[in-house]
Amino acid sequence: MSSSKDLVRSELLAIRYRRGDAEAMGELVLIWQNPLYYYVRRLVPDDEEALDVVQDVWVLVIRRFRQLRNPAAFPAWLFKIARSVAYGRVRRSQPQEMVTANDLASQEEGEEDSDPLAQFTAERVHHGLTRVSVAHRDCLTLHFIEGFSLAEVSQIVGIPVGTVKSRLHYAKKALRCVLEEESS
Amino acid sequence: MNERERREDILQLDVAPENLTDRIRQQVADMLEKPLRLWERLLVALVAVSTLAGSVVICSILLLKTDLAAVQRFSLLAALLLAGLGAVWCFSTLRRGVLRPATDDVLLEGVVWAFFVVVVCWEMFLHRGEGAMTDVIAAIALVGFPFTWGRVRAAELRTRETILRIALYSMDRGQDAAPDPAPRESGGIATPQPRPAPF
Repeated sequence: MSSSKDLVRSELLAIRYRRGDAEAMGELVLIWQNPLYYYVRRLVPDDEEALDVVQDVWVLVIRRFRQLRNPAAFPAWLFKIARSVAYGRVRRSQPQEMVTANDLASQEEGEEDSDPLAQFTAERVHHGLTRVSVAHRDCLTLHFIEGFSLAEVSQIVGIPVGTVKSRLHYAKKALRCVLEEESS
Repeated sequence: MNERERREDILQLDVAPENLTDRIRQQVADMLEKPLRLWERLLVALVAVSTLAGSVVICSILLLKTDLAAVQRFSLLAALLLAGLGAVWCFSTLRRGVLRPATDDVLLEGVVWAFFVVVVCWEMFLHRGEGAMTDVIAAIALVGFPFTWGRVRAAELRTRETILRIALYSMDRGQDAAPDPAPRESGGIATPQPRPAPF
């Protein structure tokens, strides 16, 4: 997620938009454009598709804005819509890309996560993300790159917090394996 | 390099194209400001004609059929106010020249309209004619409730907006250590939100 200042500003803009200030939506676009694009780009296979998804997301945001009860929750709500749109597109175009719950459950439990990924550079983490599964990439991006809390990731992805923790554990392990493999 | 800088670095590795923001902002503006489409014009026309016809009929009954007006006073009052709301909606829509479904506060109006429909049905089926003062007070209370509720919600939003403006001003003044504003539920000033652990 963006800085605390951006979060305050985005809640303020959401309230202004709710109260009828149409220009506030343009400013919200400006604040969230890059984080949203980065997240969507991690879920869809190419740039053009990501651009289409991002545009569709903002259209849906405007149409469904009345459903947003708490303006402070705007970022999580925005990313939830983005995830839904992106997954819908990928499901239609490349069904084999989707990772099912069974795929995740079938992974074996490994040793405790003790080696942090901080040793890797930003570029390597960025490229390593492309090599893990979509579900892992999804959670890793939301939590570590976009900065959402576990509870927010749980809301966005639509799974319990415990499952988010478990998925993040496996995702970190998978990412670390990929990065170490590249190192060696 | 701290966690936040690291995040920013990663986000900068795949930024949105420069023209995307402009395209979306234009798209947003078009969506919000698009002129009335055919079905929207028809809707406004339908409401306007219904409002006008309803008002004429009600006024005629009130002026010419005083016996009926005495019996069905609540139905007539409700219908008259309903027509008034319809007229206000038509006038505001035509004055703006656009429909703004995302920002128009139609919920409150919908509640009030629903109330009057209930009152009309109630009067029609039960033919209540006694206890006029009690009915009037009850009607005023019931009509007033959604309006009062709407005003309370609006005041709540305004207060929250003021708090956020102050918080933003503090941050702009370099007081980044100031805590984030509280979540809506907690009322006052909040404690800083915990951030996710670094990689």
